[in-house]
Amino acid sequence: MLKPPATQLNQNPVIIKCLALLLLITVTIYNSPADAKKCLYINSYHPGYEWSDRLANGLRRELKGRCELKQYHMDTKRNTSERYKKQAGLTARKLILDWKPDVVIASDDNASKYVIKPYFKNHSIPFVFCGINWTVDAYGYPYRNATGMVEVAPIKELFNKVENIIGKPASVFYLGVNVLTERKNLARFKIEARKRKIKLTSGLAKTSSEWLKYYQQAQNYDFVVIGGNAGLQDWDYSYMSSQIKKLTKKLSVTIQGWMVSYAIFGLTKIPEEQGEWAARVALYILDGANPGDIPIVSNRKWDIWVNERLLKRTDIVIPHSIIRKAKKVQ
Amino acid sequence: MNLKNKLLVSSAILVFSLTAIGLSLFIDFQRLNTAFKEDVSDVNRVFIQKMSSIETVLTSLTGLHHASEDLNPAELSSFSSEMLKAYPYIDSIMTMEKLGDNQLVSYESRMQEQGYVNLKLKNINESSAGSYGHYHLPVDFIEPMTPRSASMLGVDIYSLPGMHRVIDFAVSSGKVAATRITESINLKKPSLLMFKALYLGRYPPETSMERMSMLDGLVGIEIDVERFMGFLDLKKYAMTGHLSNLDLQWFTENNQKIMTFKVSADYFTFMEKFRMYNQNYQLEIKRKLSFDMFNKKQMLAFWLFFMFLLAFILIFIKRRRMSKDEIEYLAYYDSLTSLPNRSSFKKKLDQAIDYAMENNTMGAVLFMDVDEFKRINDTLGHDVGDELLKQMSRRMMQHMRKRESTHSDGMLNPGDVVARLGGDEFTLLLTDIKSADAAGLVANRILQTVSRPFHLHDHEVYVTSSIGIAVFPADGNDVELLLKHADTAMYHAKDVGKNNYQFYQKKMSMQNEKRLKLEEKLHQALKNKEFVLYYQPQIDAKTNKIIAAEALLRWKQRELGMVFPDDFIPLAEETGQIIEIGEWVINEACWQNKQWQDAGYTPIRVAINLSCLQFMQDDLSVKIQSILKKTGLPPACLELEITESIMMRNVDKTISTIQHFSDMNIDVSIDDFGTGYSSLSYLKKFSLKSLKIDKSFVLDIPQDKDDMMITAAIISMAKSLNLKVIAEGVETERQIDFLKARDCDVMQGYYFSKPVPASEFEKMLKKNV
Repeated sequence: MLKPPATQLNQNPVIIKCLALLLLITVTIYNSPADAKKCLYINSYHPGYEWSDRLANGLRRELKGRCELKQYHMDTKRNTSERYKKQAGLTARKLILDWKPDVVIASDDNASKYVIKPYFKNHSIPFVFCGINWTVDAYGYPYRNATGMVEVAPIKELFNKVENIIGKPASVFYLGVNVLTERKNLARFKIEARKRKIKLTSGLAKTSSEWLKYYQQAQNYDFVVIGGNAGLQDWDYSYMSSQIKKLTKKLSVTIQGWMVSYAIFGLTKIPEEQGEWAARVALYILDGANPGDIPIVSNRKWDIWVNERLLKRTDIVIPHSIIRKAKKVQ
Repeated sequence: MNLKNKLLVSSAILVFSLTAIGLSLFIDFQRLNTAFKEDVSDVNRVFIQKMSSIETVLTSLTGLHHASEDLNPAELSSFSSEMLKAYPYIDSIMTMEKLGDNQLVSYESRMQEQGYVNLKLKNINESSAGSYGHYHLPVDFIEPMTPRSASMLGVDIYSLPGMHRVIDFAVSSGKVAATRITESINLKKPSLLMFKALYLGRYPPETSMERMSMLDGLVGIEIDVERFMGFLDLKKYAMTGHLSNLDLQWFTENNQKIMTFKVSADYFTFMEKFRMYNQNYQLEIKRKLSFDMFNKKQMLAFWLFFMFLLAFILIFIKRRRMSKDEIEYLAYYDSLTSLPNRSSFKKKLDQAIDYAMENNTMGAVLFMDVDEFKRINDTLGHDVGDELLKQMSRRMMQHMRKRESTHSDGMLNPGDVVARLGGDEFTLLLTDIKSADAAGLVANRILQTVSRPFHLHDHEVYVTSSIGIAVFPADGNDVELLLKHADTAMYHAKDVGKNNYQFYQKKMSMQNEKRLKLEEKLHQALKNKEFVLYYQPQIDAKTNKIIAAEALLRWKQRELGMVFPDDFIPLAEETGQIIEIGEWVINEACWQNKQWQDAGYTPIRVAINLSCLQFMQDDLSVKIQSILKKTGLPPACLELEITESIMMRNVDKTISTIQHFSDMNIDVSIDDFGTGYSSLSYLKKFSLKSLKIDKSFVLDIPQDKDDMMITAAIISMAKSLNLKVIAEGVETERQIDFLKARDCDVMQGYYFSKPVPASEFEKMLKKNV
């Protein structure tokens, strides 16, 4: 059998391997930015949690192609033990020190509480926080190496809208979950209710059934504020929706976007705003800005929702101007 | 082309090239300037539109504030971000809240509550005490909120340098007010802020005081000036623009402006100083000039046009110069022969006389005239005559050149000149000759040169010339005088037989004067009826009766007495009077013959001699016919005599003319036959009736055997040609016998009668019966 004439390359596989390696190195160098910055995103919660997922979407959109993004999910919404949270903080710390990111973006309270504050306060690595509810006092911000966006809810505006819909209320029931975020929100609602001389009663549930019990109780008040349900592991959408549908008599309002299915009216925060801001600040820092010189700001965007399906179950009349303007819950 | 002309042409090319390029550049420059102004107008319009739209945005924001009772940050952010999308040249929109000192704590607390951690009022520079009170205007909203712009939150705008005047105006007037362009805290670039005041309530207050007291805050817009200029599409127009501050002293009222356009070698510049929103600015728009902007094709076209123009001008100048040269040439040169003309010759002669006088040298003027040139002109035509003159002048010039090369013999000098004075008159100027003989030698050689045959339009022509020589200063030291003397000498040469030269002598002048007087009298002769005709009978050899009479002209001049034909006929021929005189002769002879016929005498012919000039007249036959008609003489009673030489000068014309007379029944005979050089072959072609043997042959019969033989031969030849023979000069019986013996037809001579007046001839006619 005839064989093709052997070339010098055919005869020397070592040369071929060297050339292939050289080509690989060239392609790798060519494809990776020479000074690619590293951005680490530490999420207090877990993938699938709507708030943090949408926040991450905003973050990724802004950072796309601008820096190499790595994510770490602390998953402290589903794992509420202090021990777990501290361990998650340590894991995050190790990751930061090992990977040496140019900037770390930390969303929501637990990332600040279990990572930034204990290990990186005034560290050389810059941090951008976001999604911290209402106040940063608990973490002692600002640091020289940290700035960010505080997450505030349009409570005042929500009360204004309630007055617009049902007239000046005398009582309100706050229905939430017994977690840090909800407790913070409740505190803010209490302040606003006090200002308006509205009697606020609250119920922070630990289970879905308890939540429904509180919801039934809330129908005795002028209106109900529906907090977030994060932390309730047994939440069943269909069941809860049908129960709420049955029970609803009074105006229910929410500030959480993912809770608009369970409330009649919503002024909801936009998680992407937090992510986008955090990304912009991160990029600004990567451009050389000092985190300490960047003011800590708050979110200022929210959306307006009406759940007509629930509204129909009540005698409540929402002014046409609000109905026309609001997004409709499907 | 000489060096000077080359330099001139080069300079002209340079000047025209520069002019062409300059003109093209100028036109382009104007075009570019106009285009620049148009583009500036467009840009300026866009600038005004964009500034107006900023005002619109501010008005919209204030409208939103005033319309909304509870405008929240989300709504304001949403509205503002839409505005920024619609008006991308606006960098940021901000709102400021009016705060008194006592409201600062609650403001900061409120902002803290809203999540603005550690936000404090930032008092930048100035006191917060404005014209209308002590207050603060911290930024509480900014869109877009960026990590950089967020630093504006809490900044007391009222405390910024120079802000009191701006904000006070905005507040008190309710109008838009703008700051000077300064480096922005937010943008860190030259920027300007524009404000419009927000007032309490839904409807803005009307008075200044109300506005001040009801101030709620401000709406502001920040513009990065450089970025804003980028939105004017200056790049599209290949322009750069710059907006800068202008001293506040310039204008005090809004909408005032001064626009200027400047042009320099590098730039077109538009400068607009204007007042807008209570602030003075200067907008400068520039366009850099580059060679690429200029139309190279146009430049080339202009250059080509100017080169054509230059070529045209140069050709024009050249032609004009040539024309000038030509005029000068015509003024001093003869156009036919290219020899110097009379004027030129006189000038040179004058110089030569002066030279001779000063240097005690001698010179000579040779006056040459072609013998019988008129005859050549008349017989062969003017073209041939002109050609003769040209060839003759060439020969003379060649001769002169030949002599120049041998100047060492002292015969000719470089200053010697050959000139044509006019007609067939040539002059030669010889300078610095050693003796008069030298002039004679030159004259002799010229005579030889001229006497060689000329080939003129298929004719071989032989001519001679006569030369008169006047030597200067001996014969005169005046141009006119010398020419006159040379002319006189020339006439003398003609008088003594032509084809020779003569030196001027004083006596010639006397002869010349005599000739001139004769010429003068000749002019008067006809008028004075001084001419008379004599008639000599012609006798029939067989019958011895008079059959004809030859009319012969006599001039009885009152003072001079009888002047013989030989003395005045040549003069009449020279002066052309022969035509008039000849016509008189024909008329008189015809009339006289008719008178005789009418008197009852046997009709005879009257023979009239025609001069050459007469014979060559185109209308001769018409004239003769007219005379015959007028006198009533039958044509057969008229005979015309022409000499051999006349016949042979233009044979074709002669044949035609004689044939014409023959057709008219007028006999034509050859006079003086045997003395010329007739071609016998032609004799057959001429419609001749008779020939007259010249008397020179008859006179010596019978003494001269040769003459007898010639006479016999002529008679024999004539007979063979069927021509009658008339013998002239018959004076003896022996001659008569000889002629009769040879069968001569007619005889004429003193034997029968000398020429006699008509009255005497009439007596002979009586006897003739």
